Amino acid sequence: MSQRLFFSDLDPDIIFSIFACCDISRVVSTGQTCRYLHTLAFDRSVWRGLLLDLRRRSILDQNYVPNLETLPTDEMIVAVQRLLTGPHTWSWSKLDFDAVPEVSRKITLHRAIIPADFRSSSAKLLPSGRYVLWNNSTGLECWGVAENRLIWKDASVVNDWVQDYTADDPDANSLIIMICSRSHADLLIRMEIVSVDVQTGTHNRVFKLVSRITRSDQDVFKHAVIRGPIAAVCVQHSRCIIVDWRAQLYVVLKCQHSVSVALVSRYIIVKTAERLKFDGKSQIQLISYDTLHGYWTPMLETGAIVEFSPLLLEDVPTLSALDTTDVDQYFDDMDVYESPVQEGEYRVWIYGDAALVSYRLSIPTNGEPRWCQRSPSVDTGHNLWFSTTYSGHTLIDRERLTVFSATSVTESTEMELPELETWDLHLAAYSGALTYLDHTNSSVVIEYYR
Amino acid sequence: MVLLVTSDNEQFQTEKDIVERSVLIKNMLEDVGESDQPIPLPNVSSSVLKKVTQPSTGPTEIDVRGRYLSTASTTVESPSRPPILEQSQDETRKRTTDISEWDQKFITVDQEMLFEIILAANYLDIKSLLCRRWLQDGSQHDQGARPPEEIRKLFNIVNDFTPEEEAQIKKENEWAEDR
Repeated sequence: MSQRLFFSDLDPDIIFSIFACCDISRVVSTGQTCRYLHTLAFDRSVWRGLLLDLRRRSILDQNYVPNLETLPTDEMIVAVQRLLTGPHTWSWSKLDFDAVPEVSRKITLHRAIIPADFRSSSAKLLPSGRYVLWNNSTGLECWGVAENRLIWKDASVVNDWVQDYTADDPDANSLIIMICSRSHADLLIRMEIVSVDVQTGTHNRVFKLVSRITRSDQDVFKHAVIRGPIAAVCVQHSRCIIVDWRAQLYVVLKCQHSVSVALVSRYIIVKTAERLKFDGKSQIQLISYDTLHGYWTPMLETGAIVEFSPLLLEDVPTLSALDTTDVDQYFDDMDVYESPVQEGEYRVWIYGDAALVSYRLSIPTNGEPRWCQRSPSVDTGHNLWFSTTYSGHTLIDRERLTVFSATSVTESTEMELPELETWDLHLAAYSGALTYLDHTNSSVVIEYYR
Repeated sequence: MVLLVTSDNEQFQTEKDIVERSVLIKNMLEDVGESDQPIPLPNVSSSVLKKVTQPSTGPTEIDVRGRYLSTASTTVESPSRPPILEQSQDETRKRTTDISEWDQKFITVDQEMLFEIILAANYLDIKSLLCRRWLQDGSQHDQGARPPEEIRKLFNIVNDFTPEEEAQIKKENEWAEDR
């Protein structure tokens, strides 16, 4: 080719094809290079594709932006910005210091059946916005949000106490639910994974691990997470079960200290903190899925009681350990979220005794994962029982339930929520939607904020 | 094996499952059925087709997402396969390739060949090749997207914004850096 070609000589369709494979930050960056590419980068079709991709990855809740097909481009951009900053009415504006969180959409589920013991119930909205998992005293239920319909109910755990649960719904037709329970009578604990047929409500138990614990703790399970074939949960503070349910494999990690766990693409993130000690060590470690190849134990008989032979965490090769001792030795909880706009970037919130701190984790294709601290430790004044959203919002209980914002570090703000009837709340990771049980009307309520 | 004939009349014997990653060739193969008829590619030259289908041999190659890279500093997931067609289309958003020191080498690469490859990939309908790696992070940035100045340099883009417009656009789009 003798004549010099310019990027702007390329047909719009080719540029659109390239944008279709880019993440949001790259499309925006390219759109800042020249007029031609600016016009193309802010074309409605490009943003429609970007938002559909966020939906596919369960970052964009389908109820949060329901009208994607009719939404103008600038409003789609605002919707993405809101995933990064949280609801607008959750932060004070310069002009309005008396602002109150404002509900933009309220969805109420289930009005017919009153469970036997409503008080010990809890509910979680899945990130896709498709389903609510509802743990009531008779077992775990899954409700379809759009159709207000009971999709599935697990009756097999009636005599058990469901302690933690989560689910993965990679598309509209597949739903994988993880249930962690302990029996009332004996010291048996179960970690089960079921694949639910959302049309018929039938399920297939794809994984079941049963074991015996030695002491009767109130809360045996914590931090249940599932992502693709990998699921993990922490047991009795210092142990962590990791399973590959498709291959029927498991491994139990034993840590010296209190442990929490998260899953991202290709890696398991394990945080350990030595509590009850002034200069206790605190660390976050990455374990690659591949590393576990040498450590898996196969499940021999489904449902048989297995004796754990735990592996010491220090014996497993880990990547990129981050020493967080200076900042968060008392923090037990960890949330890890993928950036909505940059692929391979994660935001890690760590919180516990009246404070929270965030880190940035980059997992590039070309090289080692990298950590850096995003914000210094922010004092919340109160213990944090709820998860933190991507945007750095969480809930604290002063006299009333309050939204706490850690986003602007210098001026972290608090806003009172309208009176809620319950504090059995779940806070959605990106939309900030609150899911709670309305005891008076025996329903599950989901509130999205403006 | 499938016989491909390029615009400059060179013939290429290529494995069927590899060329079928191209939607265009796949459809052509379906049309001709089980015959040994050669597939003509009048819009693709032999040098470009080599880049698109052959395993790394030369000083510069291109990875699964259409990124030039130096073979010396490259590890591709499965080296026995041509790196470019490694990946099926539904996997375009997954990242599997490990590249290092790519950036410095990239600047020295022939830009026209790059454009020819974009055009060929578009013609052959290989989505993975037309991919985001064009605009991806480089060694000079620890995190995030390549800034506009660098994208201009890499792709020969003329900045036709006025300084005021440029400042305005930069301000409007700062949020996407997601610090």
